[in-house]
Amino acid sequence: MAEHYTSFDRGGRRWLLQRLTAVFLIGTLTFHFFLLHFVNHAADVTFLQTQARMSEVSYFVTMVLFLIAATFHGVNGVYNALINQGIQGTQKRVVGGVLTLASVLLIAQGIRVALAMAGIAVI
Amino acid sequence: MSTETETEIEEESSAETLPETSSHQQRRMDAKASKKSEREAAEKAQAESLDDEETYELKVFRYDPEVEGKEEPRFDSFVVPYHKGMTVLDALIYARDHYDSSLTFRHSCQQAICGSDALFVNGRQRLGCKTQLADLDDPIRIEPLPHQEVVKDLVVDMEHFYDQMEAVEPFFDPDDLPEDELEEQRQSRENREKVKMSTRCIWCGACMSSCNIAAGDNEYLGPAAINKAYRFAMDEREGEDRKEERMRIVEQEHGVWRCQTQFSCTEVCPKDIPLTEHIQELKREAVKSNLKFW
Repeated sequence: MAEHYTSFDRGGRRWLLQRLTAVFLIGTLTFHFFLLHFVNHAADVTFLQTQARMSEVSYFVTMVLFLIAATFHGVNGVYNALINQGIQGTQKRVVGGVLTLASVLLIAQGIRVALAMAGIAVI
Repeated sequence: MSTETETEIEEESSAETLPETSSHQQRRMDAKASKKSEREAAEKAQAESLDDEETYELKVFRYDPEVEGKEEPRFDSFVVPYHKGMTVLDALIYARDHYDSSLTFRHSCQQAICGSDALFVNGRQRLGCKTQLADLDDPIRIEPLPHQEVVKDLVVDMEHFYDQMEAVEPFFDPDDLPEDELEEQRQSRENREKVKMSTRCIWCGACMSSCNIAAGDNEYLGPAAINKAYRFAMDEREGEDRKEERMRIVEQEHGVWRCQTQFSCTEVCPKDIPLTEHIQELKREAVKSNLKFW
């Protein structure tokens, strides 16, 4: 058999994760919209309530997972859309690097805010 | 001897009456001939005028980089007489034979098997020989397949498409051959059913042309090639090793993962192959065979 050029992503883990995060996001987004847009309207959402919600471990964990899932889903989606446009070589590496860095910063800042809201002191 | 004499007499008598009959017959023949030529002239005039006939107008894409005056792409109009059952390809053939012999398009079997005449008709990839004029809105706009280089008029360069098809090694190649060379390599009915639709591909390229991803990403294998890979990867007679080799080809970054399940390939496939579903099945297959949780 002839050797094949491959830019291997064997197994399609990113594809599977994109699907799984999509399903997870349907649930968490629905929960988020109901709780913070329909049940409690914007005017009712106060910092005190936010602090109270974030102090609950289950809510806190859900929100952090929500953040990570949404970041992965969004960034991976943009990356794939650009691959679909046919970017290659240096362009592809740069896009990959920038998007990874953006995800790390987004998740770090998100968790920092979440911790602050929960009233957990971080250095 | 007597019989011969009788014959001679008959011949003589007929020879005597011949000139009279001949001139009479000649008059009738002349009259008939003139009537015939009049009728033919009338028919020809009517055919050329197409006044009383149902007609369709074709707007055909024209381009030829090698001919002066055709270097700039343009649309030419041809009005063709309609007859029941007439296809887009029939209309193109009529236009070429009656109006412009330089009109160029591929065609061969005219029965949706050779895959030569995939065209962009009224904004959609279709097989010319399988598309009834009666099903289309007049005027009919006929263009070459999008997302491929146009060589001339309706002819596009298919090289890239064939390269992608060949990349998936589109031939039956089992791990083990039967010991007796006369022994058949039988397929189970269930397995035949599974690959049945995928075997119907005629390499027309309509799917690849309709795919947004293939348009932007030249490395993407494309629906037809992945379907071909499916046809052999799912064939149980080939064996596990060969299947794994085939899966390695389709699970590259520019293999199955690029499909965004738009279903445009499935929509335009003239052989009704569920291309997108086959691609999805290969994605699942790839995930199953490669994801390890230990």
